Amino acid sequence: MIAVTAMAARVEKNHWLALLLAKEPDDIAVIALRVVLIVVVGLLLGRLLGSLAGRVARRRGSAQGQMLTSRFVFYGVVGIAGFMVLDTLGVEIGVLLGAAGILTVAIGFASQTSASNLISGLFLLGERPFSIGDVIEVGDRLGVVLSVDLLSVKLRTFDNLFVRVPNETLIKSEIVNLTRNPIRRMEINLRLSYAEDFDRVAAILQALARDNPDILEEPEPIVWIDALGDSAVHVRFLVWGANDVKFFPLRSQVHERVVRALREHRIGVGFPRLDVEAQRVPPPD
Amino acid sequence: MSDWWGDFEFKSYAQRSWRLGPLNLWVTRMTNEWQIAHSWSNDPLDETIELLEDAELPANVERRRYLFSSGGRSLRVVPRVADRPVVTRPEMPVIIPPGEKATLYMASPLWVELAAGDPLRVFAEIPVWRASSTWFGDDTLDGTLCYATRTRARLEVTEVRAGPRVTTALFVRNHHAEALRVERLALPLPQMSVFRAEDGRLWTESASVIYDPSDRSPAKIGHAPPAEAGPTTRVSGPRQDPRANILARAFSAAIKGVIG
Repeated sequence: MIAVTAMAARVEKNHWLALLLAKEPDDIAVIALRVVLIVVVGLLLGRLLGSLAGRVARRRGSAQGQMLTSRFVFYGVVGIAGFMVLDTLGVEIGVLLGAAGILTVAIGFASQTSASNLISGLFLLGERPFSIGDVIEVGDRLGVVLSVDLLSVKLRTFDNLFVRVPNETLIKSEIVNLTRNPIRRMEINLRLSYAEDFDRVAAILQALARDNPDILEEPEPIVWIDALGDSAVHVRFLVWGANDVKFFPLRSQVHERVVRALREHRIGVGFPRLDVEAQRVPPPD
Repeated sequence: MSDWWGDFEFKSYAQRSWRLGPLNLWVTRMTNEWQIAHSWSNDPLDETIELLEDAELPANVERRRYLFSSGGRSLRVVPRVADRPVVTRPEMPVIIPPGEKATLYMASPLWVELAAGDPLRVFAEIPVWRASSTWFGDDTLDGTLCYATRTRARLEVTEVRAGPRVTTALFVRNHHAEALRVERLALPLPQMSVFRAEDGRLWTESASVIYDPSDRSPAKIGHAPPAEAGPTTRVSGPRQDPRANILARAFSAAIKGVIG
């Protein structure tokens, strides 16, 4: 009698399982087949629709939009398939959703950081300060954006390290997007001797810019005196280039040609200098 | 003078070279393989056009190998327009008084497209001259990356020079009460075609700009080179669809360029 009561209580607790177990073996086979079918079709349909939606998003927007849309559609379809599986197994979805709501609140309180990252991620998606493929600088990390997810952004640094930056950090930090604008300026700072003729140096630097087809004619290259230092004239040479993969090689090339031009034209570089004057001090009387 | 473009038959291991102004181009046909090498001189205004058989490739020029499943014997050489818009600045300031009109002839560098194989596949494209890059736009955020050239803005069709360059006739009319100072012009060359006139010179479609502040769409690309070019035949088509949205941007760019 006691054993029967205990069994009834367990049956009550695992209502859906009991129902399932109470079915005929043939019924179980049919349910199992249905579940397998729903899972397989759900996954395939999710992948297919996700891919299609991603392609449409790609045509209308960025790689980031493609990734997010395809994931959203995929998880949506998989979620629907999951509910269908639960329904097939006899689980009451309404009760489950209620329980899930309470559980979500509990989890939310328990994992504030994740929730913060999630909300920051949504803000980032809305603001779009960068997209996949952009080169960004966050704190002291510089890298290419690999993915923009709900909790974090993944970067590949130029020394090929994988960096995961939490979205909360991104929202709080200053982000420099190095590839957003199509053209970019480079600065070459020179220290020239006070003995040099500035006009001659400016003409040499302008000719150097003119001879390089990758340096933009407009905005025009600029040579100006930035400051009169203690031991040198501080000159800035500002040129523009296309902000693409060639930018860093171009910057290196311009530096190299400036050095070569200074050497060829024997232009003196200002070094810290100290004039020492020897004076004969009369011997004390 | 025979044209420097078209279909050229190569025997096995035959070598040809083209001198197209500043560009020196060497092509060698191997078994299922084409080897290409090129170099540029320092004179962008060079007008020389030479086609040499069995020209020797200098040792210091880098070669590139293009491999095909069946190489074929024929190489197609096609003159193409630039792959970006070209911003042209007159060498001297050009001013059009109020109510006046003028047709300016401007030369732009060409690109040489090479195609081989069966079916024909484009495998290389080389500019006749590596023009400098420039930015054309309202500010450094909104604009287009272009090529920059200088023009003498010739007014007589007879003064248009031959050579490996393509000429555009731009008709400018000043409907404004103030003089129009033409400082720079942006030609949407990727949306233009290349035509051959009977004298061998290459032309694009003509374009027209009406400078009138009340008119919001004063720039247009015509359907053919100007009448003064004489009868023409089309040699190559545009790179971009002239009906695409980009056209509107190019038009506005051209207008801004004229206002300068």
